[in-house]
Amino acid sequence: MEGFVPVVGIEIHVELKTKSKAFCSCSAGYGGEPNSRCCPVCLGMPGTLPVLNGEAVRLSALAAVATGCTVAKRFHFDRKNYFYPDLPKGYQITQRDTPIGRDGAVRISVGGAEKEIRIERIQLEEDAGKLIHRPGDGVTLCDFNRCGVPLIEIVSRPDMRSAAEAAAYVAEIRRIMRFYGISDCKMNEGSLRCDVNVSVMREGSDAPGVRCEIKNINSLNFTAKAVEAEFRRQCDIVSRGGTVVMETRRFNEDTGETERMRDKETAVDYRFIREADLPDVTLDDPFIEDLSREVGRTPEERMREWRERWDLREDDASVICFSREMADYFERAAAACADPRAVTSLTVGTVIPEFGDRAPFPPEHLARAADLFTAGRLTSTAVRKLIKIMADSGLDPDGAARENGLLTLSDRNEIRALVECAAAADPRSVSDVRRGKSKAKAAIVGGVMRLSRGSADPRITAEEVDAFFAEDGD
Amino acid sequence: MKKEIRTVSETVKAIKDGAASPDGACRSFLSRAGNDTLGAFITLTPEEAYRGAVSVEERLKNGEDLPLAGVPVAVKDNICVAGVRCTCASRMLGNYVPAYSATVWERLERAGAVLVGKTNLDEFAMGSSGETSFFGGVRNPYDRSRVAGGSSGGSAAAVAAGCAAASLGSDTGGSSRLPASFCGIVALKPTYGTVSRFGLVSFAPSLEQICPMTLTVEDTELIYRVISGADPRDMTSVDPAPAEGKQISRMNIALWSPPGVTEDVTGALRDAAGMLEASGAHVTGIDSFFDPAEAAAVYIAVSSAEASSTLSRYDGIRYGFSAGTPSRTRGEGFGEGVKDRLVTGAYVLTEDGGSLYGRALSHRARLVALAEEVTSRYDVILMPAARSAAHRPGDGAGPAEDGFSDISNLSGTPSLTVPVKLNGDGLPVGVGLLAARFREAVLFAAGRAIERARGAFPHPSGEVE
Repeated sequence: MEGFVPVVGIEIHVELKTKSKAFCSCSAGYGGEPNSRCCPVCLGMPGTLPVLNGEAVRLSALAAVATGCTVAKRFHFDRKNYFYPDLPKGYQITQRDTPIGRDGAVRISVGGAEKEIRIERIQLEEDAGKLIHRPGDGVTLCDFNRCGVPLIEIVSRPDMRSAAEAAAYVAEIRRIMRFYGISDCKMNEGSLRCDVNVSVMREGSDAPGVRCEIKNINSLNFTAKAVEAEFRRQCDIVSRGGTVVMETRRFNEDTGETERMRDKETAVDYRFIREADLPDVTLDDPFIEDLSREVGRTPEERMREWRERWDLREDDASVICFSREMADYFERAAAACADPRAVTSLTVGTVIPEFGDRAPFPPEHLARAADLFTAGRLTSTAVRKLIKIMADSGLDPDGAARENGLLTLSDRNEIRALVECAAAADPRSVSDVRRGKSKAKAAIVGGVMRLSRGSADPRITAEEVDAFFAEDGD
Repeated sequence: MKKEIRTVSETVKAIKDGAASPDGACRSFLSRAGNDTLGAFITLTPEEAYRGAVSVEERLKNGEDLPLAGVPVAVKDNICVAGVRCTCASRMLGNYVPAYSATVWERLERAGAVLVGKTNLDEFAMGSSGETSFFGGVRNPYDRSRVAGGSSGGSAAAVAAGCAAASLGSDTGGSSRLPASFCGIVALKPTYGTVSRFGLVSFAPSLEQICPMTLTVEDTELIYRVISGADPRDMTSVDPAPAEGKQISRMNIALWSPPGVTEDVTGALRDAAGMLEASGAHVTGIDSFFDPAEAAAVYIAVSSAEASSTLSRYDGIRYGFSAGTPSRTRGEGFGEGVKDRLVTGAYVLTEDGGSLYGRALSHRARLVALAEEVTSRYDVILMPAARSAAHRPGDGAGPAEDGFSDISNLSGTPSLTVPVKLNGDGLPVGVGLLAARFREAVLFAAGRAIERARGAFPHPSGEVE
């Protein structure tokens, strides 16, 4: 593979998070009893007509704006004709001529290097049903629940040059789709699926070879592995003097290799035709302006800003910036506290694992809890406990800390009294220290912590223990 | 002898005046429909009709105002009525019973209409002679040795033969207007979108509309008023424009009498022009309008392309006829005429087809511009509804027969067929009237003027109303 680089372009299918399907009022939810979520329209029964879901249009236009695409002000739908038993009309309603979004880009970061991946188009279309191959008798059953669920297909330019970039691009698209509530992007439920196009190019050249498409990859990990495997395969062919054949392949998760599905000779001619059952759709300027306002700062812009303004680590920023609600919450908390690093660590370590992006207390309360910690009034254990108490009781941080005795004991006299008690209770450690084993001081500190139920300020306690033995020696 | 009730307006009036009950009114239509030997019907629905009549009687007693109280209507068998099989005259859907009704039928039923039956057609509405039905062809009520025309041949024959006061047809390239001309009745192909297509088993969605077919222009208007209007289940549907009539004496009418039609068609055009002039309209002859051969070619390319996509759902997997595999199902389930169109359409759309579809669309755009230009200069274009009167089975000119009517489907403009006279063989000859989009009211006014000047049109049996 020396001397070659992979050239990768990706088509990502994202199911939109609408209540109902793209062209009828059936539920677009995942699962359900087979064929319990279909009607004459999504089953394509004779005489029925599609009725376009306005929310699907809004979400796909939002996706276009969020990925920097130009939104089509007027568009129509086309039919993509092919036979498959999970496609009851015999065609998929999609957009060939007038995609709802064009010419966008997202930024990815791999190993500290930033890169822009261009997006060629985003098109709104419908999903197909599912075939279930019943083991044993070889019977194939059709489940049309997914049939007609709205999808967008996001087509990138062939701008990626490694498996890591491919995975980072898919992850970034997934982040954007989740951030704006466009899709759940549950790869295990198939609400985000990728077709990856790979070719090889000699280093220093700008002419990629023949590409192969690897269909239907359903995890970030497999995206990277499929690119690697396909790159390896094509390098082998080229370096042995062979030629890569344009074909459609699949990634075998068991062998970790790609394998052929169909070649160009058997490629399908989709006989695209205008979908005359749906009229042209026009989006007016105020509608598009509203979407731009809704998009605001993109997750990528926000994370960059956090790094610059609050010195956030990239991985922390990435964890926090998974949803718009969380990002907004974090920004309010970070802005209201003395040390945003404390808010960051509480957000990443406690708030998100406990509550996701739905913390049941205002961000100002999180900021105040962080400030108590920064000021040494709460230990790290106590502040975590405090957050859970705030969530359960609805109390403000000061009240909750006081009522539950969480505040750190920082009165020197009180701590000194506890040191004396601890020393009296542990004569062996005291004599060890006196015989020069200063490590045994830790046992006295531990005794103070036990006596104070963990609330003694560790720094002051250590100082008072030192002072106790220093006086002792005088 | 008491005059027989034949038309929509007569039925409504008789029931309103108490001269007939809904049940009694539909009885005579049903008995003629029951004795149909023309092949006009695929399914008769006397039970539906009587049940409907009872319900209408009740609703009238409750003081409901029903614009079509007790009117017996026949529905082309490619328009769905819940619970009644809808075959499209194809083996493919020979056993298909829809669970939903077309919007047009819901509106008719709400207005008081009762269902006489489902009428015969060319398979999947593809044809202009009425001969390609899986259930056998339709004969012309004026001469059984002639065809009724197609594809809505059964709907035309049923009305002409008095089996229904009105019928619904569908029109993709003249499919209602041509059989209306052959059978001596009136048909309106409305402005595209003014009648919901929900429940019409589609074949070429950008061209087709559901059409009223009746004995008189007044009846067509009555039906159109009930079935038209935007429907949330059809996104291409729109409301018709408020009826803006125009006095006939103020109308500027173009007479386009092209070559390539039979002498009796030219004669009917001349007669109709004279009738309109006598009513005070200003009639001007025009030498050229469009090339019917071009319109027919564009029609064939576009309708076949759309059909090849629209009909791909019939694979025998979920409903309808099945012969095991999808390819065998389609091989045995479709007739030759349908398969011809599907193959043509698939070719038109393939990359190998030399972008025929794209070329067809640019020709279509040109014809649309032409139609808009000419219909903006004249209130009405008076032109042939068909090349000739009804021909004998097997003698049709094929799809090119529709050349004159295609312009209305390609451009979405409304077009009305009105019978003018019987030719020397006793066969009806009609004329076509074309107007700008949403100007149905002008067509109705011109059509009524022709009717008034013409007088009663002879029924097939020879009697005159």
